Amino acid sequence: MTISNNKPKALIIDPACHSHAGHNVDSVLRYAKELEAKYDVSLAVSGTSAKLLSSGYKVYKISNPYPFVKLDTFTNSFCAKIYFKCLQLSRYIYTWLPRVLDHRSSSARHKLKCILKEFKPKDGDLLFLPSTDYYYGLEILKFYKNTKTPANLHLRFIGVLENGRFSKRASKTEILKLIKHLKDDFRIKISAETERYATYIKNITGARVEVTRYPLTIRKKNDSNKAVTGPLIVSCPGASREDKGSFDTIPIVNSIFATCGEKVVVNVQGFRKGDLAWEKDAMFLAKRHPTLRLLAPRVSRSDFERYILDADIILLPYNPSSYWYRGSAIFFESIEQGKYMIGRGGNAFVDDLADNNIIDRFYKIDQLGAMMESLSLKPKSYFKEEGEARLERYLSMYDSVNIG
Amino acid sequence: MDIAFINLTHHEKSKSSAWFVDHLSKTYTVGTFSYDADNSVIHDILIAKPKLIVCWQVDFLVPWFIAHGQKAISVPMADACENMPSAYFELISLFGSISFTGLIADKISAANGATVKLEYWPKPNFDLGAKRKNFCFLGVRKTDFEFPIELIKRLRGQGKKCHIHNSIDSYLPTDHSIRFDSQYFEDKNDLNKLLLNSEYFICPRPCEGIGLSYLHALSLGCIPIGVDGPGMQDYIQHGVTGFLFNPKDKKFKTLLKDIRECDTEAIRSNIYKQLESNQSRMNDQLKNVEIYINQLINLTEEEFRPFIKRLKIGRIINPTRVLNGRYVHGVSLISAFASIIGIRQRLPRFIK
Repeated sequence: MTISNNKPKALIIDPACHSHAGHNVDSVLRYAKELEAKYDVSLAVSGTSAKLLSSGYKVYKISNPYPFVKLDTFTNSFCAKIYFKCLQLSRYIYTWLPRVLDHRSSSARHKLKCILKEFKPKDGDLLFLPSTDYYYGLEILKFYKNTKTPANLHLRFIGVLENGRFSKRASKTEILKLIKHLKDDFRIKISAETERYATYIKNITGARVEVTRYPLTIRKKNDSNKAVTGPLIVSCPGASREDKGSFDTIPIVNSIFATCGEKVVVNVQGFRKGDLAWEKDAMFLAKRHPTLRLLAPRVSRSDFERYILDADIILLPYNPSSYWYRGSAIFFESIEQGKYMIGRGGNAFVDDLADNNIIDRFYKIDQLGAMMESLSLKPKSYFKEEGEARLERYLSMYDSVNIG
Repeated sequence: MDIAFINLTHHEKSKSSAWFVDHLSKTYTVGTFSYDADNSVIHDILIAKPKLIVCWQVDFLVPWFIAHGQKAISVPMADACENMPSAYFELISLFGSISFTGLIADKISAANGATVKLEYWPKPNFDLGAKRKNFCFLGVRKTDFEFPIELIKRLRGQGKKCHIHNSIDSYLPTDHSIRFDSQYFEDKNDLNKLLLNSEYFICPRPCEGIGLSYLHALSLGCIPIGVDGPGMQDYIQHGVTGFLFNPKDKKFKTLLKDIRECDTEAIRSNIYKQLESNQSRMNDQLKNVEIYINQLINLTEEEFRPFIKRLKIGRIINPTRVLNGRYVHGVSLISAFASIIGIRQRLPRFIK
């Protein structure tokens, strides 16, 4: 990609874009593509994969101050357990661990400062944080305030709350305080991933908060190979984690099996070995269950897309206590394929869209079983048609991503 | 934002407090927050600096907010705090409170706290002459369902047609032996039709904060049968607008006899009259709440300072860090804290 001097510059900063974090390269590239028409886009991300380097955008490497990313790479369950205990301890006694983390985040902040100095944002340029990590968001806002930089700033909050809980003075509270102070600066745009989180930030800061959704890529579908008979395929895409409702896998599969028998097959990614979510009993049962297909704990991007594409129903049983304010990239990746979806009520993205009949909602597992019983009587073509109708409805309601 | 309304996620999901928030929203700008979704919300609310914080069933947060210089009132619910000590009620109602049940109002009054009573009365929405096919409806909630299930078994034994609906929030224990007739209703009208066809409604819990489920059934003309406990006591008059029984009476002998001998049409007519006449009572109470809230909001800093001074020690407790979201522990902790304050007041001046 050639950089012309006429266009203003945009820097997308995503410290959570890492192979072990939730935000994959694809989502950052989607935002880059959205901004491409108006800006010369550069990326500052924590993981530099081959796909990112070959994308043609200028890439700056930053590090993620969030400790999970590094420590999760340990496959030794013993290490993971010790780490988890320390984490629990730190939440009660916030003494030594936050200091270590703070040192780590200080070095990350220093690196970001250097990048910003190199980037030299000018009037009309844009600094965009698609998933505002609180440490970075705070650092950017401080930089913005202190240097009086003339560039536009867009902070998009996604409601990942863990980052705000490590230090004594929660960085979430700090950043909201600073936003309240700077809310009248017309160059700062605040947005959130979901309506609920946007309302939350608006209530706290008094600032104007918009909703910036995930950019969709509508592709031409080729479903000629797809079976029109056979069992209904329900997939739960995404890594198996507690917050994604994976501990409910067995009750869910049992409930569906009790109501639908072998008419419905459920696909789930396996728990990562050594992961904190590792549950021997759950895995043991899962391997013997007749209607559960256990996939590899990590799947490649193409397999992941195929995993969504082959499903008749996408099930998102996320834990509402983690997703109360949050959205889901998997939801958007599924809706762009015109998939019929069912999500757990209480999650912000489900509650936002269930009233408009874009996603079905359930609250308890027995209810899901009863829902699946009635759905299993419908032909497979119903899910395809209804999924596409839902996509149309979604596109008619939210026609723009709302970044620039 | 004038008022920060702190709630719990299950109330948000069931929209059980929406009517109250809507009423407040007529006069003030109200922001709603869920404490159990992210407990660090309390720090964020301090930044927002609302004129008043209303703690709906998170009453234990009130002393913490007051200690941080924020005006806060509690809306305690009997099902969560009926067994708390007097010192607890003294603390949570220090600045003000709203009570939905007589029990809570009495406990607060006994603890020299300030409270204003509010009752929720839905409008009657049924025809008095309409015939009903089902004998009773039960929506099982939580896991304390032993007594209603026992009652249903006895009624079914007498050949009565009873409908059991599964409205359990959490997991159902594996050792239960209930056969549910319905799991969920896609349309609320389906539930309403069922209730309009039922003669009686069995209140599922022994203690209620308000009891919106049976009040909804009441508004559709079902005769409520419930335990003689907080919540039901406030809305049901035994033999007049429903039936109350003692859960210790495991054979339900008296209750079944009363039900057999009652005139259902007369009771339903009483329910209709009660719901209609209590509409003005509820409106008056809502006006009182409005006046009360207005007065608290308009209190000057100097007038509010003594409250802060009294709870200054509360600053040392940070509910987010110490409790990590487990508000039940919070209740115990704050009540322990209340006892310490009680002791502190009796200490000689030089120690204070």
